[in-house]
Amino acid sequence: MPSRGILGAALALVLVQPARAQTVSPAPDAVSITVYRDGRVDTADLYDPDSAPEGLVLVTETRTIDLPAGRARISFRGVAEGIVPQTAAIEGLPGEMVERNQDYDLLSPGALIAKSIGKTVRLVRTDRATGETVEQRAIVRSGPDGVMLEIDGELEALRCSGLPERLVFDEAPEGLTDKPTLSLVTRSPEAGRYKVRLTYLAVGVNWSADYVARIRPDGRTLDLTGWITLANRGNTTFTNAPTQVLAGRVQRDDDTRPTEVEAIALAARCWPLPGNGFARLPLLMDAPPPPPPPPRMATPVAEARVEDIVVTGSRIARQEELGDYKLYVLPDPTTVAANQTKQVLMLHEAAVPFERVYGFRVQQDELDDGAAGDDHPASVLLRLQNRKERGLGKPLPAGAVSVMEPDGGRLVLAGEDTIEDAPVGLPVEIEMGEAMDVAVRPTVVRAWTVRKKQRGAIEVAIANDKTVPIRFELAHDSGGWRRGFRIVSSSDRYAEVKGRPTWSLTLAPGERRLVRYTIEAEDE
Amino acid sequence: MRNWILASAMAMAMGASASAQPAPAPSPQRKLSVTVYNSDLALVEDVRTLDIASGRQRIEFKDVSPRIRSETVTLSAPGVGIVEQNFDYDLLSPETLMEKAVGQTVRIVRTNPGNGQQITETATVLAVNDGVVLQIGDRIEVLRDDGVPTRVIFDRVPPNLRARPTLSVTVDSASAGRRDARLSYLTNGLSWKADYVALFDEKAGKLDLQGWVTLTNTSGATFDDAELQLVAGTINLVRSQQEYWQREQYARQSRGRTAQAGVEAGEGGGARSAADYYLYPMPERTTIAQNQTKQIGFLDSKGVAAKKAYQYRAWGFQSQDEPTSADVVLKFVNSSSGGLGAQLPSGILRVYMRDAAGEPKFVGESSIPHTPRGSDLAVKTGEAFDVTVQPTLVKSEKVSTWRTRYTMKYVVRNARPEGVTVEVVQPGLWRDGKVLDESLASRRVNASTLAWDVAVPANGETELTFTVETGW
Repeated sequence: MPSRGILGAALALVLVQPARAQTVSPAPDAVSITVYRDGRVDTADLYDPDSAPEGLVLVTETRTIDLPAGRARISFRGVAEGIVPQTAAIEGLPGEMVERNQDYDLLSPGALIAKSIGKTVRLVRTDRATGETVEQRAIVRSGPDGVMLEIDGELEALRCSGLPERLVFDEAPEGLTDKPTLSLVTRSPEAGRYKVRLTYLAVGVNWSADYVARIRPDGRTLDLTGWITLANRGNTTFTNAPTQVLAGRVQRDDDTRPTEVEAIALAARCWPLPGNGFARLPLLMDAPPPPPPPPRMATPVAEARVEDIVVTGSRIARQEELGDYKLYVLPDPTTVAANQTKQVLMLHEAAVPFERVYGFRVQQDELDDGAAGDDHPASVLLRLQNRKERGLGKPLPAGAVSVMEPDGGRLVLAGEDTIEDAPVGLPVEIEMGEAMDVAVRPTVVRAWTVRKKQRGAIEVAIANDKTVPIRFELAHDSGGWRRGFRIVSSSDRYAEVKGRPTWSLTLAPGERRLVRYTIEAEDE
Repeated sequence: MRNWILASAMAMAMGASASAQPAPAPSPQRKLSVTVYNSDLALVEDVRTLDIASGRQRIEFKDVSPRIRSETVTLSAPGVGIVEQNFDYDLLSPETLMEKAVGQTVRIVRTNPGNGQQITETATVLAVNDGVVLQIGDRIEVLRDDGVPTRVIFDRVPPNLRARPTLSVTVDSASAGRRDARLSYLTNGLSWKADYVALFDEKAGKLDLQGWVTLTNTSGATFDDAELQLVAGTINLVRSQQEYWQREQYARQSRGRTAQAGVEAGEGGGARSAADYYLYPMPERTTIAQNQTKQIGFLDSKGVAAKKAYQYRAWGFQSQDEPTSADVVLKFVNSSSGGLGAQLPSGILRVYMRDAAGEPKFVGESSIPHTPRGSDLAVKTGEAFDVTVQPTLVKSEKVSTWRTRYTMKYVVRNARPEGVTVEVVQPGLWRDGKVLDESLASRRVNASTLAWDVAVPANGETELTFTVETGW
């Protein structure tokens, strides 16, 4: 053996230290999850591995741990893959916690070499012709980028000769782990079996809300159904877990993310070989080293697929309050499997009255640009009052709304829109698209200046070619930044709605209406 | 970069020295001290007993961090002068070894693929350029041109090729003997931040605050049984690491001359203020492993007075189509009278509340800055589902070329079963901004900002209207 270096001192010190008691908790006894999001999530994104937002899940596990007295290290296996280690918390342990660690020095072919530098391994060569094997002792002299071996005081490179050869190690090096591992160091007064609760945040689970509004044949009420779509993009299955989702905008920080882990690859480069540059020479029996495991990324891997879609809509999730958020408790414990999307009913309200409103917003900026005088279609929106006495009165988490309308005995999609988080008491408006039979034509009929102020006379022609009377809302949008904007005169009564002068009209079937008004703003 | 990673993994693996340097006798007295800064930087002090001979010699340190900033290395030992320091990273690999073997002889062993017969010859390496050119006797050949398995056997390793980057210091010692030497250096790859867990009890108006130091080691080295301390604060290291370190180095060298080995012991627990930053000595020695995230608790305060508040900050004088949720803010004072009163190093504060079943649930997180004792803290946890604000610009009038009068209306709605108070903040008052009329009394937060506390009854709404006049 060659002489030991200065490091020998340090190593000796480590070796004489008494080994700590090790306890491994292989898996949780039970797990429950709460899924978060920070605002509206498109369900389509949940199905798309590339754009799927990470989401956040609070995992609460109960575990049973047999703890020795004194200082002990407890390793937790079977935690969710997307764990953010710094959020882990444990309750129910006796004594004091000294520290907690996440170790991610991963065992890989490269790490095996790297940890074996200076150590003796066995080199096994197989004779291609006879199949005989020859085994030699060798000392690893360099790392996984190009392995040099010392055999009987001389040096040879690994896998550069073209001979089938492999290294055999007597044991796996200490301190390497198959996957990132969470552990605690505790000091407990006495040995015993303890029930502990481990909680942590993890990424990889997200949820979205979707609504289906079916307009009833009466044309004045609709049935509103709300769905929670829960998507587990990670590789961890939460089995039989009480599950909740939280609606509302939770403040997040970018640093709350899983550890990025990279395994050491075995590159084993050789000296230049003819025609191959620096590559290893491919040979029949010389199987390539296994590829390094892909680095575990914070985002789900691209090949992750959503395979199962489970619809369990017979019961409705219960809504609770949590601080200023809305918590939806799924009716039963459920198994949220890896790469699974699950849908649960969150809301079902029958015969909610609604109003169908046609509308148009005159954009003053567009008038200024001279793009006036053309026919524009009116927009159609459904307006619900989110009140108990109006058949609803439920918080509506942000999501997409599909409006279905009966047409000749069949149901057709009348339009889709998104809504933001809607508390009780506020109107909910669902824009469905453009109306076919209601046309609007705004025209600037005259523009002039009075005492350095600009004035404009505007005429808006509205035509209802439908066979039913309609409610129509005309708004004038001044662009918001114009100083001194006001309506000087108007042919019809108007009110301020959302900061815009708005005319509420009712048009009979076939009616043509002309609204005239004059605006004024500072000349600047 | 891969070399570094690789070297890292084996920081503790013992290798034979590739060089012919005599190594000092092993000594069990080693004291590691690691001071970690917030910004990917650590100061490592390694006090060990070295057996140093008289005269000029080279001492190798293989167990230093592979991400060492070699220009910051200082070795000090009584009666020892430094001649030079080297950091060698010419790593041994088949490629480098073959390149260094040009002009020298190696043995080649060919194995006949048909019958396994081996033929050994001596060859001189002529060149290594996109292939290895050998001279064998009077023939010139290219290594493995025919694909026949051929082993190459080298009889020695050139002294400069090492398995991992190695720090060596050439010293000149006046006398022979064992003595304590202090090796110190800066390294990247170590950093820390704080993580806080606040369990908020809204009804009681209290929170329990736990603070954790989260230390991450990707330096490549494992620091065994090290005394650990953490420095909180934005010291000028961040802007000018070099300059700071040079000053520090002078100070250390003079200390080394007086043979003051050892590290100043910290009082266990609590932070010590060192100049403009805070030092947190950890109570126990600990092993900081490579590729490890380590957390050590440093704060556990129960019953800190805290309250929830709603805030809405306007973006100027304009209307908005949809109501906006008010921010939910957790407010507490970092003072002894409030139940806390410790320096809080910057980090992320995560807030939990108990749900109906009594289970703590996460309700939001925000980063907090370095917070000295006595500071007010307001941590946004999220947005209120049920408390919204909808602004409307009712009127804007030109007063003069540079002055405008704005009339704003804020409808604050509350769908909660209890009354709430929302702080509405209106920025955007510039020169000579003044309030002409208001439905509630305002507070002037600063020259350009007004604030109102708007009380809203349960399931109700309150309208705040005001008219201000301001120059641009």
